[in-house]
Amino acid sequence: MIGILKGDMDNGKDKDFFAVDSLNKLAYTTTSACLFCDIISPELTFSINTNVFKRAHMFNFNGIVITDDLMRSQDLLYAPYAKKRFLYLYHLDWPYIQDIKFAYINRVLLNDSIELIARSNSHASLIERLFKKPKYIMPEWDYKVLVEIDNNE
Amino acid sequence: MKIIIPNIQVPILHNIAQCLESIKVQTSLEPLLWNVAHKPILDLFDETSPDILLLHISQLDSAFSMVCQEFKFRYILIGDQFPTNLPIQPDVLLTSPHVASTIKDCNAVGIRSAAKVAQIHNARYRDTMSSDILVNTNNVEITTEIFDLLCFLTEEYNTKIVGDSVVKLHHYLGQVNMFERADFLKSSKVVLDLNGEDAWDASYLKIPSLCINPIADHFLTFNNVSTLRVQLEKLLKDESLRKTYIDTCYKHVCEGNTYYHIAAQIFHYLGEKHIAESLSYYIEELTS
Repeated sequence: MIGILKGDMDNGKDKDFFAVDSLNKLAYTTTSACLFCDIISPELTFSINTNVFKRAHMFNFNGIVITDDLMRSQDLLYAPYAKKRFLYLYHLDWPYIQDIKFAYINRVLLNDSIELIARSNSHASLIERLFKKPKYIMPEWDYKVLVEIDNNE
Repeated sequence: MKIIIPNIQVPILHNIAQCLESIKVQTSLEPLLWNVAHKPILDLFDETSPDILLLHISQLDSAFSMVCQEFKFRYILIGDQFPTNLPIQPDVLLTSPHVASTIKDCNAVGIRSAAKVAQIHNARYRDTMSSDILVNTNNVEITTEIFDLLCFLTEEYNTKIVGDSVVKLHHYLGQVNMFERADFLKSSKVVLDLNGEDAWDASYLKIPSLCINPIADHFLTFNNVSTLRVQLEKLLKDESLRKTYIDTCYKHVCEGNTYYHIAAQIFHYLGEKHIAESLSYYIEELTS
């Protein structure tokens, strides 16, 4: 079972659109999935056809957790029951975090218990050089890759 | 012996404090950092009665004049001239090398960059920090020229950038503490010195460096992208040259270019031979 952990969701982010689209597609497959998110904007123009839980429920979740939010990724460290933890580096956005410290990167991106997912081969190449080899390459939250992850892990 | 060091943003103060901290047991020293924002100088003297005080010239105010009249102590001053209007004169003046060379008949020590051995001695290679080129942006202003230089490096080489000055490149991995910085230096193949400090630390860690500013004659320098590329290719591919350069740099750093040597010189001028000898002995032990 796959749980996607998200920060606040509104209409502004392409990665939210693709994540929800993928979750909606997973609803028609044998892969169970859900969304962990605290705030979903009522003005969201696309519908979410899957189970949605508050973020706190993720801490008791025993499936595979994936997040594409670098700032939320430290939550993965406190999800003791999670079968696997993945950080999807959808945007390569760590240089844009204000006052980013290497200690934070070290704690999350270089953590042995967190696997990385890249969005493309070129991203994967950069991520491998800077941090570690991504375990999967998933273009725009491709639901087929989510099914593959669910089957493999 | 109590030595008070103000905890202000003057790097040499912290470097001296770190050196003294490492010899405090064998010399019975008590180096103390003084939080100047919370402790007035009169209270400091009432509570600790220091034997030696390090001061920045900006701290020579009326309260200090009162202290001079009431307490017996010696002090080391960081500034550009010996003050003439104080009851107690500093025993040593820490100043720029240019000013130090012009002052005769007084104990003036030129502040220069050197290896921060107390911070970096235990540096270890770490796979997660490894790189071909390391750039530390502490005390570096990211101008257009520097940014273009970093763009070139990140496109051509496996480069990692760390430090206080933010660089809007994916290879920038954030701010580092002194231990992380040391491990990053040790885990790189070449260090690019943009701040006039990292080359000495890299030399101590036996990592070759390239300097944008000539901080000493023996360091390899560059002044544009093409000379940088030539120098980098040499250091990355020519093992013999790399080894010779590392040995030369290490020899120079051991010959008086660590903060232990500078601290020893200061305490020698201060007449504290025991402390000066302990500092010299300590660095000799580390480098022998």
